[in-house]
Amino acid sequence: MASVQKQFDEFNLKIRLGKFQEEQILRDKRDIIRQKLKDNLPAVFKKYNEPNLVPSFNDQGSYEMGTGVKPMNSDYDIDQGVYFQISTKDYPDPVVLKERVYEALNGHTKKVNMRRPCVTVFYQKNGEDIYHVDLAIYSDRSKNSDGKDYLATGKLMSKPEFRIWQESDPAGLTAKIFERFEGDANGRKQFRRIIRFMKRWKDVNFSSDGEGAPRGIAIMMSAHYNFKPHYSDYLTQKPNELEALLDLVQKMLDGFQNVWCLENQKYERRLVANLPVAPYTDVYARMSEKQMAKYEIELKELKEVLEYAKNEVDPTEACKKLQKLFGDDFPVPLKKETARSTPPPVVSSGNAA
Amino acid sequence: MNKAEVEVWREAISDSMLLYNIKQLSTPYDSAHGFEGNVRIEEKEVLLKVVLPPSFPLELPIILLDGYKKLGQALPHIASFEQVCFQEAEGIIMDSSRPLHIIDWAINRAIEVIRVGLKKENLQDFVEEFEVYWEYLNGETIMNLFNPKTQSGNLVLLHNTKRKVKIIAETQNEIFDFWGLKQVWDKTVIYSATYVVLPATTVITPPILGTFWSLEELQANVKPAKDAMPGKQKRSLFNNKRSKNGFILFALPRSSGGYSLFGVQYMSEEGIHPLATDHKGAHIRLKPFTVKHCEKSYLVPRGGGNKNLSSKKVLLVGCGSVGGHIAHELIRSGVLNLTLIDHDKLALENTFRHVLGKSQVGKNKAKAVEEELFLKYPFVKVNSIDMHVEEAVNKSKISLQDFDLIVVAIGSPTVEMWINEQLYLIKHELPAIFTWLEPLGIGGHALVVTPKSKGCFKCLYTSENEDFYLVNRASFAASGQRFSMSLTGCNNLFTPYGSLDASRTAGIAVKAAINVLNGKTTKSELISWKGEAEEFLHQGFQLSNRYSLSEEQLKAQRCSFAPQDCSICGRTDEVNDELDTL
Repeated sequence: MASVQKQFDEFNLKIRLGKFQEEQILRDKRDIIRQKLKDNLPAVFKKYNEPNLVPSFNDQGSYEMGTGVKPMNSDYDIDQGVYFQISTKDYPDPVVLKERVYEALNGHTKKVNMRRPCVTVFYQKNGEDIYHVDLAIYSDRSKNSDGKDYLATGKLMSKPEFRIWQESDPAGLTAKIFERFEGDANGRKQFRRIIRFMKRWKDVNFSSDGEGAPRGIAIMMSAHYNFKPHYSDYLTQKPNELEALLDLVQKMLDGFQNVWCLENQKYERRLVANLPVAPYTDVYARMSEKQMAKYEIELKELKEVLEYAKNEVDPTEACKKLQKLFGDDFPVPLKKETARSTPPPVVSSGNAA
Repeated sequence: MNKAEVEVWREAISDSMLLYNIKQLSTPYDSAHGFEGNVRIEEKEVLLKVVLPPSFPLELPIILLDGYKKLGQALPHIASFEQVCFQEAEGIIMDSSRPLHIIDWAINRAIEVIRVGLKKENLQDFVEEFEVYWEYLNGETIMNLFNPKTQSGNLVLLHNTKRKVKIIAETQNEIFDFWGLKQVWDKTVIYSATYVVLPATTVITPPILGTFWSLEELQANVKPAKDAMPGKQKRSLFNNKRSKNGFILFALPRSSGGYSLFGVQYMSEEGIHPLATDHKGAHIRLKPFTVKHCEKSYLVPRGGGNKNLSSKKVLLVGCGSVGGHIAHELIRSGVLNLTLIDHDKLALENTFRHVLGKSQVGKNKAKAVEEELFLKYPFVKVNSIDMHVEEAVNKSKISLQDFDLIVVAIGSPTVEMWINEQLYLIKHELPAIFTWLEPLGIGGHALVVTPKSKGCFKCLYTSENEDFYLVNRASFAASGQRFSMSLTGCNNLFTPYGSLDASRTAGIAVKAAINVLNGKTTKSELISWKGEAEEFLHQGFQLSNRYSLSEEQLKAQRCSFAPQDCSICGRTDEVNDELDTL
């Protein structure tokens, strides 16, 4: 059995968002936008004769969970929760509040869009999007009689039935996902790494338009329900990422089943993963039957490659196959690198008595 | 507490009709706070004196039974000076904001003690606390080193005129054991002494009231012991014995276990033993003596130790910061037979880490600890060897077969690996505990190795992963770091850690040792404690992944540290398999 843990370690370092590079830039953009909102909102509310609202902010999404990967075919993003101290009744049409935010930010960069779940600020270089900040607008739980947060959904041209306040609890989701790793820092670290590997695998193996690919949150939820930490040596807590991935993929494949589809009035073969918090929806719901079929085929291939790598004695051969599925950031060691060298006969020990 | 308050309480007690004829305390207590009053108990009219100590209500009131002697009946829990023991002073907590209720409660308890005593419902209590009543007789105090047995027999009493002590023992060896002596004391007079065991369930009323027992009363009270003896024994112990001065040690079995010990000294003009069947006309004077328990079976378990551990032999390799504590704690746990090995001398820089401080600087560590143990504890059997352990084994200064357990506290993995291998080379099964601690308080470990189960010291250094070559897999410090720091030159390397870390590590090692010796631990296991890492990280060091495990995870996984292919403990399995197929 080949040990490819070293290669997974290197792979992880290559694909994760650097704390002091990518993440720092995103943090800076986020902070500028926060300030911009605080500066411009009073004038906007005044213009519409509405009481001024001072928002508070929360990080959310993969940035907040520490599961972000460097994008391959798209731009970097950061998700930002913007909480207003209003009840849903104060703004019966949530799009109105989104418009206020949009207006406060419009012109900040060349491109500010209103999308169904958020308002997005794009940063461009040479006409191409390189970063974007997604702003999710909330009615804060402290002002709602049921004590729940609501997300403003809908956009300018939406019909009334799509302009709704949707119950949403991103902080609750983060807490739920990480509660089982309480006191288990090594398991938590491996969980994050495995999600990064799966996201990169998704970027490499699904088309760039994003339509056919499972969403990042879907990968996250499948991992949430199926991941279990694996170690090559429990005593030293030496992680075994190959085994952890294989275990996860196998369990995801086991999860595919025939589900009665109300919309199409027939059984479809699907993977289902419901959010464990509001709105409790299936994160795979928007994938078509065809896309699901491709997803299953790709997962099967991943499983076969992982099994091959597990059984292959030569790490170089194992990594060549893994590289095909995980992309060029996955390193393939030269044959001579994998040869075991003779270690020194004397090592410093910290033991005393 | 002031006079007015006492007046209020007195009136309240009067109103409650618990006592009647309540008045101020009469002599000799009239200067104290309190009051006295009458009560009828079991058809008897008695006067109770309620004396409030100056610190009342932080202390219980004292209740006295006036005219106890006139009752003509000795009652349990009431000694000759009339105090009613209605509650032990230790182990209680009082609500001092309710002084009146405390007084009321105390009087009720005292009345109950007297009532039960008058009805003779608690005579057994005399037996349980016999020694207390006997002590009130104010006899001479004599040390006892004899471990009470179920059979009566002969003892000796040694009177050392130089040290002014009298000691009862079965043989002089017990005296050597107690003080760790190598030779006999001079100026010692030896007297005849007899040990007499009373049968279980015997109840004797102690001579609380009036004068001490007459010869007839003594004979009557201990008759059950004589009745239980064969005639031959009676003849040899009493009838045929001639001694003008002698001592008798009585053992009265307690229902709660063990014996109450009490003694009678006699002076017999004719040399006739007071318990001889035919003692008519003998002139014998009797005096009580109080027995001070110093015997091993009493002292060693009383120290929280386990009785059957005292015969176990333990080899302790390393008498440094950890080993010094281990030696002490093993003895305090009742493991009295130790062999200590250390080749090193105590240096001044050890002062604040070693259990001996600076008192023995310059002396060999093993020798210094040995001397300290003899000084501090009775009954210990300790010897020390000033050598490296491998030298001591190779030169046959010790034989590993002789021990029940070996505890290794040297912090030197290379030598520990050698010792570990020896465990598997000898035929006799010898369990071992390896213990060491890590730098800057991040933790410590005790590894129990029982050669019949899988898991040994070598296992910690056995890994498929080349990153862990010569690395202790149990470490809380990440591998590849240097910790020793040079203080005064390259020959004086030491690893920085606090004395607390050393004693905590010794604590887990000694617990493990006791569990191995009394058979509770049969499998190899790795016990680790985790400390704070703040200072360690502050100094720029890195922690291992294992450090991030919780205490629960560490505990749950303590038996699963052995890899499949350990070259030491894996070897025996192969041999076993081969033997099986033959």
